[in-house]
Amino acid sequence: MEADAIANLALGILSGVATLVIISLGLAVVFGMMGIINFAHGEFLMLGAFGTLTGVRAGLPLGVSMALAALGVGAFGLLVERLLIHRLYGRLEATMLATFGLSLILVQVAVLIWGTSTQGVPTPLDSFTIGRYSISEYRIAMIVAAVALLVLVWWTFTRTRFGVMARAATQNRDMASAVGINAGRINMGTFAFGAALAGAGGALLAPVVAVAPSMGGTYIARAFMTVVVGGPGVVSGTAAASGLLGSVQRVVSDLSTAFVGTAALLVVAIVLLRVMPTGISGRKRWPL
Amino acid sequence: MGRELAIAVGIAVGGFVLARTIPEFRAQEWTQWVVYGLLALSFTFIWGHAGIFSFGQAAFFGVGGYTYAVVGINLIGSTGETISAIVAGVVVASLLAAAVGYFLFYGEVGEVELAIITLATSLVLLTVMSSTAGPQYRIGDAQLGGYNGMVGVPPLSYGFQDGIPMPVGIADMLAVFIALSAFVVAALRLLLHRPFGRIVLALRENELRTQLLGYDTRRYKLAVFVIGGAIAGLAGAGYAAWGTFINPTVFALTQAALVAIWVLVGGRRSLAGAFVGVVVIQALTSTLGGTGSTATPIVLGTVLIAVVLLLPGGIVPAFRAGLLRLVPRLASKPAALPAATVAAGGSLPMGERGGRRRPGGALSSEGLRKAFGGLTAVDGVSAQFSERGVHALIGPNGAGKSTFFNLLVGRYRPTTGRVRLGAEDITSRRMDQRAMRGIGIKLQVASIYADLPALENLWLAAYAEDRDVRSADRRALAVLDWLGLRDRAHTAAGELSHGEQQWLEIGMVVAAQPDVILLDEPTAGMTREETARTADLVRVLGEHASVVVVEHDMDFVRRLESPVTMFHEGKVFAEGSIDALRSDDRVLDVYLGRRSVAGAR
Amino acid sequence: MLELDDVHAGYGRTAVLHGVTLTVGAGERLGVLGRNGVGKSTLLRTIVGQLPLTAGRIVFDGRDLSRRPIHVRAREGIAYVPQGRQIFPALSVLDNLRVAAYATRRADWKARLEDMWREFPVLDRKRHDPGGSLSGGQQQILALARALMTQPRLLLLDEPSEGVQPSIVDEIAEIVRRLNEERDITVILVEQNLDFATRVVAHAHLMDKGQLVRDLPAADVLSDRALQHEYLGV
Repeated sequence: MEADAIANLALGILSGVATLVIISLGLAVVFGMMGIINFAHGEFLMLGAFGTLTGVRAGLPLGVSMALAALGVGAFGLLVERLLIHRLYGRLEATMLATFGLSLILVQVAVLIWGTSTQGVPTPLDSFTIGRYSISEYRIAMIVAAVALLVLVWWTFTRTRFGVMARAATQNRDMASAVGINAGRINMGTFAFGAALAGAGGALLAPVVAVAPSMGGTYIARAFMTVVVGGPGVVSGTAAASGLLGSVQRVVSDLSTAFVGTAALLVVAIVLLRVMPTGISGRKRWPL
Repeated sequence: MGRELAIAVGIAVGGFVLARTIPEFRAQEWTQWVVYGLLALSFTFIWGHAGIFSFGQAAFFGVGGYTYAVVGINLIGSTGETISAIVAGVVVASLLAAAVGYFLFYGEVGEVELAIITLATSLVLLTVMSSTAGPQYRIGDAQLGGYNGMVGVPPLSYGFQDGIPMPVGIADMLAVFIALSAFVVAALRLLLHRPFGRIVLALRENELRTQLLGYDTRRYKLAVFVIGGAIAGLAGAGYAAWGTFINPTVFALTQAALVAIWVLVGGRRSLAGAFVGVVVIQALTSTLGGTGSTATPIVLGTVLIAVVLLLPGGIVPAFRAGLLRLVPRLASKPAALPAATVAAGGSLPMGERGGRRRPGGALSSEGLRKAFGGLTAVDGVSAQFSERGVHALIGPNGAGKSTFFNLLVGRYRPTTGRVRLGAEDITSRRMDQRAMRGIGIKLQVASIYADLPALENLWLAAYAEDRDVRSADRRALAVLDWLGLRDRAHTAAGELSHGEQQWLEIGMVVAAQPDVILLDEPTAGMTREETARTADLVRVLGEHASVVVVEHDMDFVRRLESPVTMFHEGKVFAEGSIDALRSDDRVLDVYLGRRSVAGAR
Repeated sequence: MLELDDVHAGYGRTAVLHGVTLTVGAGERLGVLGRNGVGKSTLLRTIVGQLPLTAGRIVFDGRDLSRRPIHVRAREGIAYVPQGRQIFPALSVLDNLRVAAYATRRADWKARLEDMWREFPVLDRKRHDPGGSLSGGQQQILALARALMTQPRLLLLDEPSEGVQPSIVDEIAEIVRRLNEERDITVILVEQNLDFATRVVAHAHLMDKGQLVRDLPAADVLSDRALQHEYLGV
């Protein structure tokens, strides 16, 4: 293979991995820190994308729209936690089913607000060429964004008081309370943070995918598999699982079709889960 | 048995009559509901009754449908019927369920992972089947059709007539499916009354305890999963026969969600509830204008959330509870118990030892050592317990007796050393494997079936050993009488007092007729009277088995009148009778924490 | 300072505390002794709030805390060092301490941290090591320091000598006495190790089957054999 083809493949794989990181990180935070399976995660992504769309249509610069969309979804997540999630702590199946119901509602509400047809946000950046291949600069930006998000999550949970308290509450809720931590408040914040990350994920995807109310369903399976294969380590697990599954999906897609690539990702994930039921980061004691 | 069949026949006949009297478009609509009902039933069975939360029923549904389509299209020309296609649908779905089930249950996958893996399986099928659009994707004469699905699927047909395959009429199709559903429900109800069903229920209630009784829970879960897959496959085949059409949306998330909604609404512990849930939701959906209308998903989502929050049991159980409150006479009374043959606290009813092959012999340990990181909890303990009789293990907190006990039980693997049962080395055996070899284990925290009646708790323990219903019935009752709990026979175990729960668990251990009984602090939380009674019970046990008890209560230990081993710093510190130990100054020093313990080793 | 008035508590259907009444004055060093299973740990957990009261009242400094959640009681000034230490294993020693400081929201936690490093040099040496890597004794000291970070007025200790090597047990006894004398922190100590207990507290209550049955000077417990047999499972 020539150098430009290699470079194209490498960037393609990195881009695929970055996409997985972006769509999964919010779910990883919520699942890793609180053990909650949020089936409306795909819809949080969708709302982030639509939020960005609305902002751009209103004339705001793309970056600002994205930030506002992420924050908006975060605020919405706060509401969801207060009204629904916190009544269901410890009830695994109930949380899954209730968030499933929520996702049905959100998709329909999105249809009512924005209609069913797919829409687009113009890609802001140009492309450049490497040899015979044309690479979109935005794809590079997404890779950078994925890394930035991982760093943001890591920084939040190791350097901020909220983050360290959240980790304490995850490790031992009773003792965290016994040193004065209001675990209920912390959980609210963690869920909102996860929602905001999901919104950011959707916002970042907006310029490169077809934005439609049903888009959540396309990503939810992959996000779930990445999070569960990743294991309890929010940053280490997501990064490792995204790397592994993202590469598999990309390589197989290139050799065959996109459909088969997704199927390959799911199959590999299923096999990995069987071999490592606690996930990749379940074995090793990474701090986060 | 007769009653269930009679009901099923009655429903079938009623269905036949009904089908003929309603307009055809209604019959067509209701057939779809019945088919959905079967799908919901499969989920109710595996989730409501066995506690397996799987999103995969949609996968088996779809596979059943596609198999019907493929086999039907290929065979209709030669056989003129599609009954074989229905059967094929059931078989293929069952095989897939067996494969997936084996993967899941023999791999010790957790709840969350199971839900997600089964969901992913459905989605893999969705993805794969959606990409089969090209003409090269065909099985025999059947074109798979990719996202658009398969066309030309033959309707349900029962054979040639004048050289043309004869389709079952619309009204008859409804009647056939109602009859089929009635018999499937009857079959499931019968199954649930047999030992298999009772064990599956126990598995749902408390999987650990079921394993500790010696049941291989993986096999039961696999069996349940395959049955669920078969029923879903039947529903799928029926769906394809009804619609003469099948496409990949049967595998989609919305389908999986819908199944959950039907079952939750109807009541997940109720077989009839599956159908009730379908009717309520589907009727609601068509009133709102069908699945395509704007209001439907919002209403469905809200219903799901509302049911989860407010009525987690579902409609049918709530209805039943309400009915019982209005008309208490309807409550089914438990059957009267046969006369007592055993006196409370008297000699133990140990009958014939059952079928399991036992190595026999006494429990012993050799050089057992257990270290947790830098801390050595048990430091080279060799002990030999006699084949009969009681033996007490005592020592202050942190002395190592609990860790030693857990090594005997199989909760911990030793760092070095061996545990033997007679001549057999059981060091690497898990807890449930040790239970199957005749070691009865009662851990400190009572692990019983809280929602099942006390007698049923004992029955499950007895059956594990006997594998004969009558014999288990007799034995469970005998142990119940021995414990003095006859008047609590039908009370839910969770409603018993703390002391009674501990006794019940001891009873469960005894009912399985073990050779060795390991008890961890059996009198924790008991009153003085209860403690004294427990000592008497344990003494009787010692006449038939080797009993090893870890305890803190010195009065209890004294009442046991047994040899005592005292632990200190992970080693055996002193042995003898409790009175001898009590007057030993060195022993006192250890208990008081005095540092000046000379010659302790 | 602390008043328990006919407190009943338990786990589900199992009642463990059957009417405990106790008054603790400010500045006291009090022991609660008894054999396993009588409810000593349950008593502390009920005061802390990990277990709900089924009857009775808990009053701290005149405030009725009977229905208040755990973190509110902690913020009122009740600190707890549980059986088995229960430090946060995946957090560093520094983070274990910071978490307690952040939570009670008092502004001068940096100064307090310095105070801890001075008071417990062994922790200073292991600042960035994960809590789970410390030995039993070191974890016990960490748990104590963590409790102190909240500047409590009442300190509850559950069997601090268990699983700790003898030299550190001595150190802990001394630390607890010092905390009580120098910082005026009231101490309630639950212990099975009578030797350790009598070195720390002056006065002891004996517990049996969920109730307080005797109270007497700690030294008397050591000398009375009959008492030891009756109540202490010896």
